[in-house]
Order: sequence, then C-alpha cells, then structure tokens
Amino acid sequence: MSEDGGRSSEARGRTDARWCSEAGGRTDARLDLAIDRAVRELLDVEPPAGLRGRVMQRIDALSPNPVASAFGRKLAWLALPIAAAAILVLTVLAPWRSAAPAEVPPRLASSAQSEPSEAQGELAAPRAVVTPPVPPVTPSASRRAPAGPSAATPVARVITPSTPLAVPAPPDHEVVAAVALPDAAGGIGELAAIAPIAIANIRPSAIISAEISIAPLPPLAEVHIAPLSPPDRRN
Amino acid sequence: MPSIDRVNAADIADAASAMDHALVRRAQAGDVEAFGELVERNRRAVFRAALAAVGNPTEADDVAQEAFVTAFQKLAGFRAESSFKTWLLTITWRKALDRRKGLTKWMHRLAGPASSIDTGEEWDPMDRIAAGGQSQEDGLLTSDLQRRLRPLIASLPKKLRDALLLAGTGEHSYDEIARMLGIPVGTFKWRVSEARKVLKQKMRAMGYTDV
Repeated sequence: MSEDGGRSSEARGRTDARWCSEAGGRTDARLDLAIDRAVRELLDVEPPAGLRGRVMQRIDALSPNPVASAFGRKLAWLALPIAAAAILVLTVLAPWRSAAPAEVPPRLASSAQSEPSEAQGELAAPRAVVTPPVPPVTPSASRRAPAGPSAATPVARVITPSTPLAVPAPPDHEVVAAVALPDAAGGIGELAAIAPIAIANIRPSAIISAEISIAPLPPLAEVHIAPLSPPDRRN
Repeated sequence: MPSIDRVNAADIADAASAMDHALVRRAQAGDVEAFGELVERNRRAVFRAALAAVGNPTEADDVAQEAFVTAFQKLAGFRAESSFKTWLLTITWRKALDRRKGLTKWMHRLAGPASSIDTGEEWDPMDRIAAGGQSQEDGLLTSDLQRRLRPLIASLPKKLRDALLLAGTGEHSYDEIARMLGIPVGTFKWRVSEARKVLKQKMRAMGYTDV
C-alpha cells in the first residue's frame, strides 16, 4: 500500500473513531434524557386534593392534645411496670396475711404451758403458740338465726379459764390445738375432738464450750552442725 | 449566572426551612392549624417520595396521610437537628417501605397503567408524552423509549431504583435524600449513576445504539 493510501486510511480511521465516539456520546445523552423523562413522567403526579383535610381529620380523631400529652404517655409507660410489680407483690403476700396465726387468750396459753426446769446456762423453752380467736356469741344472735338446717348460724364459744381442757398437757409438751364445745341450743354439731398436737420443747444445747487446755510444746532438741572441713569450704 | 442561581436556591431553601421551624414551634405549643400549614407546604414532597416507593397514587396517598399523622404524634420529639422536611421525609420513607413490603407485584403496577383517585380513569403517563407538542416522529421515538424504559426501571434492583426515582422527583436535594435513606451522599450518587449505567446498557442491548 502506498504511503498516501496508508495516511488516508489512518485519517479515515481517526475520523470514523471520532464519529463513533461522538455518535456514542449523542446516544448516551439521548438515553440520559429519555431516562430523566421516564422518571419524571412516572412521578409527575400531583397529590390528591384534600390531603390536608384528611390529615387534619385523622389528627382530630386522636386525643385532644397529643403534643401536650406526650409527657403523660411517658409517665404511663413508667407507671405500668411499677403497678404490675405492686400487684404481683400483693398477690404473693395476700395468702400469707390470711394464714397468719392470731392472738390466743393469755389464760389459755398459761394453763397449757409448762416450763422445763433445766440446769443453769440453758435457755428457757418458748411460750405457747397462739390460736385463732373465737368471737363471742350472744343469746339473742342465736335466737335470731332462721329455722332450718341449711340456714343454721354457726355458733362458737369462748374458751374461758373456768372451762377445763379435755386433754391434759404432758409436762414437756404444749398443746396447741383447741376443742370446740357443743352448743346447747342445737346449732351446728359439735366438732370431733382433735387429737392434741404435741410439740417437743426446743432445748438448745449449751453454747459454752469445754475448756481448752494447751499443753506446752516439748523442748526442741539442739541441732548441731559440724563445721565444714577446709577442703569443703566454698571460696 | 449559575453561581447566582445556586445562591438563590440556597437562600430559598434556608428561608423555607426557617419558616418550617417556626411552624413546628407553634405546633409543638399546641397550635394544630400550624401543623396544617406544614402539611400544605410539604404535601407534594411527601407524596412523591411515597410514590417513588409504592408506585401507586392511591397507596402513596395513604402512606402520606400516615406519615403526617405519625409526624404530628412525634412532634414533641423533634429536636431540629435536621430540617423538618428531612425528618418528615425519613418518616415517610419508612412508612412507604413498610407498605411496599406488603405489596405484591410492584413491578406489575409500574409496567401497567395506574388508576387515578379523583376521576377513577386509568392513568397512563404515556398520554402526557403524546400531548407534549413534539413532532410526530420525535413523539413516536420518545414514546417507544419511554415505554421500553418503564419495565426496565421496574426491574432494577430496589436500591438503585429507589435512588433513581427519588433523584428524579426534583423535590429533594441529594443531601436530603441521603439522610432520608440513612446512607452517605457519595453512596447515593453512586447508586443513581449505577442505575443510569445499567439502564443504558440494557437499552443498547435492545438495539438503541443510535437514538
């Protein structure tokens, strides 16, 4: 190929390349334009009329002043767990409070009690356990009870000091059970005698320990170390 | 001249932000009408952000309402660390994404005509292109491109598509959109650029080499 032909073909190549890049650039630009228009067309929609009115209606349907009640809502969030914890504590404690032993008439306790006699230094036995109180019954209350077995009003009696116990207390034990006496008016039937529950007195052991004697140590034997012979001495 | 335009645009944005903050303070004090004014000023931006996510004007309207109501309920917690508009758009975007998760066939909606709320007629954005006043040949060519581009835009990965559509609304700055999406501005710009690149590659593959 002649040089003139070569130079013209190179020139044509450069022109072609430039044309391609320019054409590609134009294509790119037109594609960009098409993309922009497509996106704008997709989103060029006016919001429906009345959006403000609908929003305000929904806001009016909320609480009167939700902005001002934000603090109130925060307080509610704090109060809820505290209230739940309080209810839980009350639920746990309620059975204990209903099952707590009540006071016993002091005379009843003193008649059943017997203190053990122990040597000096020992602790005294504990006093009697209290029993539930028995409310006093008036004769008028029992007469006002309606007739009929199902409507019978339960009647109880206070155990007075003059009324002896049915069961003698053993010397080392205390009786913690009570017996209901039958009602002469014919209310509820007398309760069956309850076997006494004897509880052994607690006798704690002495806390004074025996004397501890310390014998002196035997004298230590003397330790004699022979001196090193001159050749064994270290320098 | 461009520098003057940029300065004016910045001044306008600052003035709008200051106005929004004044209305927010009044609304926080209990003035509900002030919040109504905020709704009016930001309804277009909120609606279009929602539309970019859900692709349907009816659902975008629902999302916009929910976003405004939620913003009202949380107004006491607005600290003015960012502009009110950015804060509102962040709420809107979260609501829109929640709605989109429950939507099926979003691409189908984008590819097909959407329904208009006011008239109940079928909404076809191609009608606007036909009425644009171009030459018949240009109109046909552009219509063809638009028609081809819509399903291609719908088929983009979600992150690229969201970035491209939000950038195309013209209502938000890149900074606002980046804050709304919770990503750096550079990442957002890359996503827009990548979305365009993918679309152009697909268009060339379809034969649009000399448009």
